[in-house]
Amino acid sequence: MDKYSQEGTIGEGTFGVVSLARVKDTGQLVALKKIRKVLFNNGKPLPDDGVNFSAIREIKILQELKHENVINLYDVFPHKSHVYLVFELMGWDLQQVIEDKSIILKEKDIKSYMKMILQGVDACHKSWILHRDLKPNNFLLSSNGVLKVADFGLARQFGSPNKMFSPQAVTIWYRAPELLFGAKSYGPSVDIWSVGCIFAELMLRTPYLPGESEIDQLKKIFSALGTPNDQNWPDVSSLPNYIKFTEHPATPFKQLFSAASDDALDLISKMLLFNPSSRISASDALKHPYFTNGVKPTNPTDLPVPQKAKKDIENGAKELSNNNNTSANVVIPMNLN
Amino acid sequence: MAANFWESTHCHSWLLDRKKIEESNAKDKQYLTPIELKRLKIHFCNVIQNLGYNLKLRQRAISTAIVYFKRFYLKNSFVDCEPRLIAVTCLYLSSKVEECITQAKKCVMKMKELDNSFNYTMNDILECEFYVLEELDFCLVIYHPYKALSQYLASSGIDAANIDIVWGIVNDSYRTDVSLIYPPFIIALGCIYLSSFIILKKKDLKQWFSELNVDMKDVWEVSKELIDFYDFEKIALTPHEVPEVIYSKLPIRNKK
Repeated sequence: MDKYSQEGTIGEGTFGVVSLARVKDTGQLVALKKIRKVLFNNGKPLPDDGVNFSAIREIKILQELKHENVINLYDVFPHKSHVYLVFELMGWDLQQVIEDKSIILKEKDIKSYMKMILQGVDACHKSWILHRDLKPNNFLLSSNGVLKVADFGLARQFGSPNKMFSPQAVTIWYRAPELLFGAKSYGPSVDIWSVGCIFAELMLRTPYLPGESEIDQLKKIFSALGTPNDQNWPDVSSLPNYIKFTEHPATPFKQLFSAASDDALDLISKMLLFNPSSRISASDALKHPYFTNGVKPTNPTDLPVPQKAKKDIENGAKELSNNNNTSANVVIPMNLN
Repeated sequence: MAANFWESTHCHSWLLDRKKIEESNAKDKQYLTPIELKRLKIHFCNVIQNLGYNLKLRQRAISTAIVYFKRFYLKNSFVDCEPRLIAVTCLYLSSKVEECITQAKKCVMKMKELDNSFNYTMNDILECEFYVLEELDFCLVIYHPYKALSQYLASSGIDAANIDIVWGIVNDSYRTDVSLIYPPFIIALGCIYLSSFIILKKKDLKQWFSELNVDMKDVWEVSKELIDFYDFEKIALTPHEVPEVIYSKLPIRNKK
C-alpha cells in the first residue's frame, strides 16, 4: 500500500470499492480495486466466503493473460485484511460511446472497435478462457482510444475435464440462444454471439435484442433472425429448456442495417448463426474481408471521446492539479456492475 | 492449456532449480534430519490428498493444492506456519481456482474427522487464505501433466489396461518436487517412461520417445525422482519414524 497514494473514489462494485490512486514512485495514475476479505451481512461475516470467488477468478485469469486489448492487472497485494487489485486506468467504456448521441460513428470507427474487440476476445479464447459476460460496458477504452476487455468475474477456463457450466452466465441481451435453452456445455461461440450483438448495437446505436426476460429474449432473437430449425441448428430440440416457438421468418440484415457494407453484413451474419459450432471464431473473424476491404479502421487515438468523459477529464485534470483532492470526482468506468 | 503454458506465470516464475528447493523449510532443519523433513513433506501431501478425496474434490484441485503447499514452503517453515492449517487452506483455495468450490466450514469438519487433534476453525482458514495468496504471489493457475498425458498416451499406443498405472504414477509424482522443477509435459513423459521401461518391462516405446524431440535428460530425471520416491516409501518405519512423531518434534508457533 505504501507504493500508492489514494486520490479519490471511482465507484463501488459488487465486491469492493474502486478508487483512483497514484503510484508514488512514477506518478502514474491507476485504478485500485479493493476487495473485502469476507462479505458481511448485518455486521456478521457470511458463513462461508473467504476471498470473493469472482475476485479469485479475475486474479487467476489476469495474472496469466497479458494482451494489448485485455485490461492490464499491474499488481495484486494484500493490505489490512483486504486484497487490492491494481489496474491500468481507463478513460471510458463502449456503452458511453454508444449512448452519446453527439458522436457519429463512421464505418471506419466501428471497424476499429470491432477489430480491437475481436483481438481481445481472441486473446482470451487462445488462452482457453471464456469471458461469458461481454457487453458494451465491459469494453473499456484507454485515454488514447485503445479498447480492452475487462471484468473477468464470470470468466472461466474451458476445455477442462469438467465441462458442465452454469447456463446463467452472460447478461441477457447479449446471451447466446444455446444458453437461453439451458445448454450446460458450451464454448467460445457464446462470446462470439455477444460480440455479434455488440456489432449490431454499434451500427444501430441502440441495443439490438433487448429482451425483458429469458423467454422474451428468445422471442426477440427469433423475430429478428427467424425461428431455428433442425437444418440451421441440428439437435436444438434436445437442449434442456428447449421450447417450440411459432415460426417466424428472419428480417434480412440488409433491411435493418441499411448503411452497412456487404462485408459487414456477411460478418455479422456469421457471428449470429444459431448453430454454435458453425458460428465464426474470433481468429477467423479477424481474417474476414470486412477488415481488409473498403475503409481502413480508424486509428485508436482518432476515435471519438464521449462528452461525459471529456468533461470528466477536464475536471479531473483541474482537480488533480489542485493536489489536495481527497474526493476528486473523476468518473472512470471500471467495471462496476 | 498446453498451448500457452510458455506464456504462463507457472513457466516464467515457478519452474525452479533444485538449489532453490533445497532452501525450503529452512528453520525446520534445526529440528529435523533431512530424511525426517522429507517424510513429513510427503505426509502432508498425503493429508491433502486424503482430505480432498473425502471432500469429493476433483483430483485436479487436489493436485493444485499440493503444488500450492510446496510453493508456500519454499519461503516458509513448518515451525512458523502450521502445516496442517496451510494444507487445509491450500485445498480450500484450490477448490475455488479449479471451479469445484467447497466450503471452508466443510474443510474444517472433514479435517477434524480425519485428525481429531486438528483444532483450527473456519475463521483461521479464511484468515490464512490471504496469507497463502500472498505467498503464492497471487499466481494461481497451475499447469498439470494430465492434458499432455492423455495426448501422449493416445499416440504412444500403450494398451488401455496399463493406462491406469500411468495415471497413478502421475498422481504419485505430486509427492515429489518434480512439479516445482519441470514443465508438465516432461513430467507426463517421465511417468510414461517409468511405466513402460521399468514397470511394464516393454521396450517398444524406444522409437516413439526418440521421435518426440524432447530433452530425454529431463525425462530420465523425472523418472529417477519417482523411483527414489517409491524406494523411499518401501522403507519400513519404526514407531519413532512415523510422521506423527516427527511432527511432534517441531516447536510449532501458535499451534492449536
